Amino acid sequence: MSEFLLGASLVAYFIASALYLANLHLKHKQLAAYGTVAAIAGFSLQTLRLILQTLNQSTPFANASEAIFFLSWAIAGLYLAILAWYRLPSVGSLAMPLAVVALALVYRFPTPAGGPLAGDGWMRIHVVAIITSFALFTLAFCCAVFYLIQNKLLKSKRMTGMFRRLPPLKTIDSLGYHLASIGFPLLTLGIITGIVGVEMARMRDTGAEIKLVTSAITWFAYAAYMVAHSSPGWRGKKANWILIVGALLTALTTALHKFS
Amino acid sequence: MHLVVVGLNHKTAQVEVREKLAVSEADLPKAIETLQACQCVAECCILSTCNRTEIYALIDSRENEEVLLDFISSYHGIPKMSFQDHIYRHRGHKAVEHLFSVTAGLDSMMIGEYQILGQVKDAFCIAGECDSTKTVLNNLFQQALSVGKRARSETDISKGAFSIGYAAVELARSIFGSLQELSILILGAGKMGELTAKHLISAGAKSISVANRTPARAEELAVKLGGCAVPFESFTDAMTQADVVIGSTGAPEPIVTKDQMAKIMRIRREKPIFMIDIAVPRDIEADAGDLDNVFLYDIDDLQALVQESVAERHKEIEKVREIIAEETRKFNSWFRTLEVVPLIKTLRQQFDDLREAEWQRNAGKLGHLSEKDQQTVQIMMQSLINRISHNPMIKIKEYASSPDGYSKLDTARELFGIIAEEVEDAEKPEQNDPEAAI
Repeated sequence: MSEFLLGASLVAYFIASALYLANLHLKHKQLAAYGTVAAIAGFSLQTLRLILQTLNQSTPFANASEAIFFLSWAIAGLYLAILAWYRLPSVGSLAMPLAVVALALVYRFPTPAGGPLAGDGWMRIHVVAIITSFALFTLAFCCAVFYLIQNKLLKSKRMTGMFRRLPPLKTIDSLGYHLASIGFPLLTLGIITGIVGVEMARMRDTGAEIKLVTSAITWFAYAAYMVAHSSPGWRGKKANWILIVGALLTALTTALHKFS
Repeated sequence: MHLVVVGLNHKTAQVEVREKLAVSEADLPKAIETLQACQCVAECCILSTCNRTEIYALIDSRENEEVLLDFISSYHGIPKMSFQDHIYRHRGHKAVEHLFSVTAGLDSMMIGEYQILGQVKDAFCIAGECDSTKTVLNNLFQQALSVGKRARSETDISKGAFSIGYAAVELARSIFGSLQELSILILGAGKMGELTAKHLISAGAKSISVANRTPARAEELAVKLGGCAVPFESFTDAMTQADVVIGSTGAPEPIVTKDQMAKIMRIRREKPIFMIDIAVPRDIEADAGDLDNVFLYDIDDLQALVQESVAERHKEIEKVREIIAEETRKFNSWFRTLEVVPLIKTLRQQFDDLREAEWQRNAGKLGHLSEKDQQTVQIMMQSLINRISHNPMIKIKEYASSPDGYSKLDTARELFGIIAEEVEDAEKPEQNDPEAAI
């Protein structure tokens, strides 16, 4: 059942991604709407699986594959929330493919592998806070990409094709900021609880230092973004580049993370 | 019964000719009345805008088309010779197709524009008030209006900028999203600046300020646009607050340099600014557009955007033509049901079926009759049917050639209980040639 839900939601997200991408380039009014239907279907399936997993296991997000599953669920959920609030289906053409990538990674970590995460309270808070902040940063990354594309199109004075389907510059800029400003405190919380959790469980290993360093760099990147967003000389293009760098650091941190 | 449109438009005639043949809205009822007085005109509607004057009419026969030209000539008091070369005529389904392309905006100077839809609606309303449109034209115009709406909602024929003002609105939307909260600053009180500001206002912008070297003109324009005037000396201060700046002064040199702009941006804390420079010579140094968060468009940029949108809309023409073809077919098949030939055919068929059914029902009871007697009975039945149907058939043919015959044919259909679809079905094999039908 769990395998089926996983596969089905992956297919649904894939369809949603294809439709959203097509919507950017083709003139067909219904494409985005169909994409949203697929995205909602996939999200429902994922939610169902999440509920079933939580009921079955005493500790949710007990391993790497569950954590990544949760990340893709959060990305899709956040995107749908943004869609409901801002009506920006164009964001889906990047957010949904990223949800697909995250979901496909679940297959890279067969269920028990990666070992169980420490079941105590600190680590549970750590995992939820970190993953939620990563989902928020992923969407902020999407916003930054669209901001930079739209900014370039506006500067080069080209208004055809994709231009009309992209979100307005100011809207996407402030949306990216909102997302990062929720993600940042969550990241802070995640890092602190992570350090505390490791200390408490005396699980310090050789990887811990690298983990700590990359996390700290990521944290500083987002801290810089929060300042840059409203500083003269940084606002706009440069600030959004920081957002993209931040997302890449996030991905790097995740890759180095051993989930132990 | 002959459906025809005669007229001229911006493609066939220069404005010098068009203005001579135009009928103002106030004069329309009188013109329609004059036209209706012609015996051969059953229904008519006159569409007269600055780009076209067209008469849509249902007349008794093709030979009488000249009546419409005679009307134009006598109504305007100009000889036929002077405009005949500019006139086009479309008959039957071509006339239907023509009206549909007009409402869809394909026939407009600015392709896909919205105005024409309102103009056709108005012309149709006036004709309706004059009672000059009945079954056929009512149906035709109602369908034409819905074609216009379909084309605009189902294709991108009306998307994008139609003018510099539209382009400005579209850009403002792409930068800021909503225009509601934007504050607009107009430099100079020129006509172009006013026009552009009006577009932004109609798109939702509310806060307007005007700076002009002559304060009185600034005041005047500010009142007109519902905004306020600011002293020209301090327009750079106003620029630190505004979201959209429209430059349209007559200054010989740029009034805002890149350095000044950079300073303004620092004071604005880099809040994005959209600058529309429609002045020639330009008001804002072109280099200022290189600064981050400054979106500077001059008149050529905007014009290029309009051209681009026109090109984009041209790509949609084929899709609109498909809609028009589909709707023309729909109208055509309805129009055919008004025709007399299919009606007579159906009627004959109906009588024959009746005779056959009666015979089948009673043949058993007549078995005792000799072969010859049975034949006599059949002949009797046939001749009875012929006699009964003789007069209706003659009358139906007569109606066909009278101008309002189709309404009488409607009555005939009702009397014999024939519904429209039946006629259509009987005619199906011939449907390949739509022109023959109308």
